[in-house]
Amino acid sequence: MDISSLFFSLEYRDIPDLILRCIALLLMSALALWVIYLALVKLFPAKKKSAMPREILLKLRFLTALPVFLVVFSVYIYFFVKTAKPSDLQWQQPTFYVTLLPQFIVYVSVIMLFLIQYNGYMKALKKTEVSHA
Amino acid sequence: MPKPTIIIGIGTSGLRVVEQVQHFYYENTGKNKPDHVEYLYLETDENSYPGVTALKNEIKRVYLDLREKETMINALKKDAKLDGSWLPPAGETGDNEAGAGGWPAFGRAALWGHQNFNQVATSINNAYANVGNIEVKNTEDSKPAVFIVGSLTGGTGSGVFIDLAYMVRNLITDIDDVFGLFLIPGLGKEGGTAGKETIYCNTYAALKSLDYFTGKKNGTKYELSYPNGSRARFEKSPYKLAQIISQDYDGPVPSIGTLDGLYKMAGLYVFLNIYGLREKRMRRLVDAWGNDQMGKYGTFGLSAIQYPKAQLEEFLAVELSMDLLNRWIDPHMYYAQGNKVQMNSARTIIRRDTFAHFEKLLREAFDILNTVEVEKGRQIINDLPRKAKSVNTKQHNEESDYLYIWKLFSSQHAGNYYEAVRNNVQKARDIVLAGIHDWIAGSVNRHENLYLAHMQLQIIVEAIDSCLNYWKNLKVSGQPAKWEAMLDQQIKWMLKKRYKSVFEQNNVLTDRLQNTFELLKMHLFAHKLVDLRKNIVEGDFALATFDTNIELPRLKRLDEIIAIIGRTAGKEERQKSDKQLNVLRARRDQILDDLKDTSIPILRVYPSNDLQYEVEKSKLKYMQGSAKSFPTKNDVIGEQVSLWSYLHQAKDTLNKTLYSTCISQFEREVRKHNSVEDMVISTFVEKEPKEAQRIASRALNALVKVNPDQTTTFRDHMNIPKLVIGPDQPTINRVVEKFTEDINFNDFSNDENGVLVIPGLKNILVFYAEKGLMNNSQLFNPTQHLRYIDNLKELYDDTPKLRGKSAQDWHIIRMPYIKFAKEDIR
Repeated sequence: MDISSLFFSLEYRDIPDLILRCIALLLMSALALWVIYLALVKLFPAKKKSAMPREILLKLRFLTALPVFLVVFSVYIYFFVKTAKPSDLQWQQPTFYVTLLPQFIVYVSVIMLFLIQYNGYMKALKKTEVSHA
Repeated sequence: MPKPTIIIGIGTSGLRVVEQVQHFYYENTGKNKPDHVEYLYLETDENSYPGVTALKNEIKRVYLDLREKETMINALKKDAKLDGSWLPPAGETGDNEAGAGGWPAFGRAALWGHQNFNQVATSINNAYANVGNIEVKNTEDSKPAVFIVGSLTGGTGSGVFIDLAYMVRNLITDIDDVFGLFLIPGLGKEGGTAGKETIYCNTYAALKSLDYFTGKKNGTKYELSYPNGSRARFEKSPYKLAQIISQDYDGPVPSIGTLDGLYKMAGLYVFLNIYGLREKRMRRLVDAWGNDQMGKYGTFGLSAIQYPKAQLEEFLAVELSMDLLNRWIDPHMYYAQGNKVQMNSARTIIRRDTFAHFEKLLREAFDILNTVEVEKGRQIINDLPRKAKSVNTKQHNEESDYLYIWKLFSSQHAGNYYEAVRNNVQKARDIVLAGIHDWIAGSVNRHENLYLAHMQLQIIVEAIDSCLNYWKNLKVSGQPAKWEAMLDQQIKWMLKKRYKSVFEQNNVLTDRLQNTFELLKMHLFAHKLVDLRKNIVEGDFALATFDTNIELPRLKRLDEIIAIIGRTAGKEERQKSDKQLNVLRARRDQILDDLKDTSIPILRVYPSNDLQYEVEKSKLKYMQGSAKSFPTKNDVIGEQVSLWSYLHQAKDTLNKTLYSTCISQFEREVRKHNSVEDMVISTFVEKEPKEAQRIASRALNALVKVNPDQTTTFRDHMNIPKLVIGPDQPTINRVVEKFTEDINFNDFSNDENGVLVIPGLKNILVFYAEKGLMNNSQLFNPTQHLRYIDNLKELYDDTPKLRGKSAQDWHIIRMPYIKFAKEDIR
């Protein structure tokens, strides 16, 4: 199995193949998310006299990284759909939907992660670090 | 050529007269005294001081200390060189506690006390040296004349007036002569002496003593040794001329209503004498003395028409002073950039600004702790990233990261951040303290309102409370044990997730170490904040910065200052303990009473005939002249001096300083802006000749009641001066001609002998008539011619019996100049 069939195939083969594709997509997504997060952290470091605690800033950067990742992921989905042949789009076949499960899981995971991180960020803000009061 | 003159006031009455002299001189010349005159006054009452004048008070106080009376009298008695037979019993207190206690013997003893005697001698010598420094030497004009003024009713005046005159003669070798002006009691409206036996007995004793050395019969020599070892031997009388005056007039004229009125007349008399009257009188009196038309005693009649410019100026100064002081303690309004602001409506903004300022101070204080050096050349704030790196890279020698961090911040470990901050927390406290001081002092200087400062200080207390509460919410405590517990939690948190995945572990840990460092500062600073708060709210003594000694403003002190200012302005009723307090409102009322007093022979006239109108007009003119709508501290203490530090002087002196500075400075300002203009008095005489004649004729009556036998009274003589005194001859001519032509009043003439022109005299026209010759050609002698002299004799004889004293004891305390022997006295 080559890389393109791992990330851009709509063909259902079997369950182990599906699991493999799912793990690969999740790993790739995590890598992409980390790269975005790291880039944001390094490209937009805390100002020297910033009143915001470093930890809060890092949380904020991560929150920012999630939507950016979604944009990148959407670009992937675009190419993912574009590379599919019309014959691959078997809307009546239940296996067609099973094939889309990894992308769906990533979408849902990112949204869930955003909500969880947002909640944590708000809590941290409320605690307001005293060193920057 | 002005005659060198020394004026010596004795006792409180003497002081009041000298003050009037100074006042009249200032009114006419803008100076308190001429160069050829010196003012002194001798006082036994430690609480009596010269009052306020616009310029530097020129009256030099010589305090005759009687606090160690018993020791002093015993020492004098033991001194073998002195004749101590006259000394009173040492252990007694006198009729009252103040000064000489109403006993002339104590008054005399006060002069003789060793230190006192030397002090008086030095003061006279200094005064002599000052007035002697004139252009012409060794002529009649260079010989000084000395005026001694005082009352004969109290212990001080009647105790020292004879010794003092001889002492002056002894000290000033080329003296021209000594003149006395003595105030004696009148019979008053009631005409009785009940309850006032002491003052009448003292007067009688003093007059008898004076006559003992003056009268021709006894011809007593004054011969004795002084306490400083010098000897005095005089055959002449103590005074060339002793003038006696009282509140009573001879004749049907009503008495002068108040003692202050008499002081004013005495002051006017002495003022005129240093301003030209003495020379004029002496030229005439030489003939009178040569022809036995004048003796050693005299009196006079004196009246004036005056536009009271100086009083109006002082009144205005007092009103402006009250306005200023009331502005400083206005609880409702303050001024901001020239506009009135309601305190309540501005409270929110004041609160916001004060809170913000306090937060800024706290930040500055904490920042200074950042710069504390934990190792040579390395500040804590720069050391924290190094420590974070050490933890993250495990480059430390401790067993664990936890222990490493714990040792940095623990109270139980030496040489760490904890110790460094604790050793420097005082510096941080001083920054907050100085900042609060600057905020409050700045507000007082800018807005000149102590209630505003009070409110701001209260808000600072609120800010401290709020800060401490916030720290409490963060679970910060000043107790080391609680700090250790908190530190444990902090370290656990610090070592948690440190964002290594994005390579931020050093930054995050540095951030957390800084956070813990901030908590450490709060923990160590909390006590200092509590101390500051406590001192602001209830401190009796101010906390101060270590280096610069800047004091922390306190609410208690502000309350005290507000109370003192309130009492000085006269906002509150006078308390019993306020006896010595100077109150502006009282002074204003006093001036008003004086201006409205019609019992004194000075007729006050105004261009508009309305005192209130004149005051309003002057105030308006002052405001226009100074281009201000309200008085400010700059009028009084200048722009350079901080109002805060001015008000923070010792509270014992604040009332006196405020009172005197305000009045004197505003008087200067009022004068500078010419707010009260001069008036030509002759225009009044031309308009109201009858009223002018009424007041002029009062000068024809002597200021003392004579004629005990209903036949003897004063008579005029061409050699005895009777004068109209004015600024120029044409003015006097207009007045005298108006009198003679319009209303046929011929008692004053405008020939050379009847006129004294004093070019500098302003706003006043004076009528003066000297008295000393009786109608039976006898020379005036108060011990013979006073209307009530027989009553005085009786009173002097009877009072000791009523008080259970022997005649000898009574004599010793009342008549220290004459040895007890009935024949000497009677």
